[in-house]
Amino acid sequence: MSGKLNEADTETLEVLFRMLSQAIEEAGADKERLYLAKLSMVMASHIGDVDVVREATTVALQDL
Amino acid sequence: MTQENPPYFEYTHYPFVRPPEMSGQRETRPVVIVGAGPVGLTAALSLAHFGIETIVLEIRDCVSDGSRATCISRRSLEILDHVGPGPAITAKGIWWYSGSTFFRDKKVFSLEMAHSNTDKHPPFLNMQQCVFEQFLVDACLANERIDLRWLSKVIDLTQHDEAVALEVETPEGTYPLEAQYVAAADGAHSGIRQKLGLRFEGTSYEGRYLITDIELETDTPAERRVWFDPPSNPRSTIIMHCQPDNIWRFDCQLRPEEDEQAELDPERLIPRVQRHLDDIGETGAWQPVWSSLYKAHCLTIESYRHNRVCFIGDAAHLVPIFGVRGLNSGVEDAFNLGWKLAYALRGIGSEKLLDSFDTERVAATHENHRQATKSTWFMTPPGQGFTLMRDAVLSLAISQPWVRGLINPRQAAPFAYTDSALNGRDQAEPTDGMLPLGGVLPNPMVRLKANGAWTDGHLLDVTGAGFVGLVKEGDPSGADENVGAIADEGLPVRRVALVSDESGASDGTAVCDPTGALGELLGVSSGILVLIRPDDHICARLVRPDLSALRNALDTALG
Ligand SMILES: Cc1cc2nc3c(=O)[nH]c(=O)nc-3n(C[C@H](O)[C@H](O)[C@H](O)COP(=O)(O)OP(=O)(O)OC[C@H]3O[C@@H](n4cnc5c(N)ncnc54)[C@H](O)[C@@H]3O)c2cc1C
Repeated sequence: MSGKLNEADTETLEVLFRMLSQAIEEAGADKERLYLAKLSMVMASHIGDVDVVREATTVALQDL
Repeated sequence: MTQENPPYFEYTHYPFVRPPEMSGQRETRPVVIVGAGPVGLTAALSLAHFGIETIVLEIRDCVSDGSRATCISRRSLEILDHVGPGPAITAKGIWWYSGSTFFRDKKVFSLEMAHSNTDKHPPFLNMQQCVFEQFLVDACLANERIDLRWLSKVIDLTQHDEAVALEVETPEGTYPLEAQYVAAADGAHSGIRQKLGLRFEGTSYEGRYLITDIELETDTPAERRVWFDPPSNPRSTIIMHCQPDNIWRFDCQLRPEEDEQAELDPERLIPRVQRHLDDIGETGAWQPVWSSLYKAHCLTIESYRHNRVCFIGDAAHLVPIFGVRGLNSGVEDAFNLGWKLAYALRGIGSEKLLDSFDTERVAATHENHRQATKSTWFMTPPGQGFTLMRDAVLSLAISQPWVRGLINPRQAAPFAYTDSALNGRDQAEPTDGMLPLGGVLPNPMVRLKANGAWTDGHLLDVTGAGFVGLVKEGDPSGADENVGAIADEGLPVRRVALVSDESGASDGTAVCDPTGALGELLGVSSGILVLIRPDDHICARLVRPDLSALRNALDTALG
């Protein structure tokens, strides 16, 4: 990563990874799209910095 | 079910009348307007208001068919008050102030529009477009400056240096007609636009709406209601609006797999509407009266003035229906063109006024498109990403107030010509909340003095066919005296004084501003004069203007 996106340390990443996985499980297969979209909107709004969010959208679009 | 004319309205069919040109008369007319839709008719009334005779040519023999515009903006009503039929329209239409948006079975947004019981007009007024047009037709027929010619189709147009030559087709043959200027108000499929080789540019949306007017017995109050993904029509969007005489507008988005012709069939349409009425608890008797299909477009030509031909309304631009900006922006086009063309023809203003019509109204279209584009994200999402994020926002909105601003329908609002070449410098120091140069005057209820007597009225009652110089009564800086002096020179400006109490007014027109709130909003204080254009937009704020400063500001505002 580069630009304005901050990287978390591995330990924090592990916590985040598990939290997100479990939340998506909880949403269920038929609601996972909607859930992920809501989550991205909440997080993007919370970050509030358009450049950071733009960079995040670009990073996540790679190698789909 | 789609009949010749909607049954809720008694159509008058007008005869063709042979014009003098068919008996050999060859006189160059000042202005010919092509198209007697709402915009062409408003242009004719506007030009008449500013002293110019027009001929209006219309293919049809009556007003338009049903299921088009419903929501008339306050600004349109103010304009129509100036030019004639406003009060009758305001009395007939349905006033409304609020809206509700639902996602599935939950309410996610409330629209509340500011209003007070002293307002002259509601923020929006609902009325079927054909009913609206009939008021304009009646006003045109009663106006001796307007020659409205039915069953008259413009089939050719050629621009010359001094005039425009038109060829008009009628049931009794064709005839030539010449005009100094032509206002092309011939609608979305404008033949004049095509004749001049001008192209619509912009975006067209795929989403299709089924537009149906139904007659429904109900006491449900008028407001704008929208349902996203309603249980009655999953994955669709429904809009409902109340119109006069128990007619309700029911707009329903078709799903991609639905065939539009099949869905227009009453066998499918009636159950679709019935499911929704059942869902929202409407139990009254109902029947469909008219239906059609609609697709949204954000399209415009690059410029609205082409020498002696000026484009207004749908001939110039198409705006999606969701923010109700189509007819309303066309009415603003017509009024803007009306005073400028009249001033140019009467030699009071320069021809450059017509360039400002172009730049001001093109800027207004760009703003309308900016706003309308945002409303299409919700009303006809332009792709699968937009659809998903829209659903995400609607779902969040049930519990999260911060996201609800995205759901606002962004209804039409009057456009401020802040970058207009007609604006002078703002010599006052504008504060927050002060009307910017180019902005349109508000219309609060005020006490007014005219012809020596005080009456209740509204601020826009003071603007007429000329400019207004608004000053503080007896302003010692000379602003008051000087505006009177240039009016005496024959310049098209009238002095209007703001007074803090009624006993303080001298002769002439005065407005009482007991709290000083109006003065603050407009930036009129001691030593400051505000110049107001004939179309109610302010164009200069001058500090202690002497005679030449006033003449300069007027010169600028006259092109
Ligand atoms: C379903 C729907 C809902 C809408 N809702 C709203 C709303 O709520 N609010 C809003 O502001 N707008 C709304 N609109 C948009 C509104 O209807 C249009 O913007 C408006 O009608 C434009 O008026 P106009 O006079 O420019 O064009 P038109 O109404 O199209 O009139 C053009 C006229 O020119 C005539 N003509 C064409 N060619 C010639 C020729 N060669 N010679 C002579 N005459 C000619 C035609 O016969 C026609 O009468 C809606 C539109 C639709 C379809």
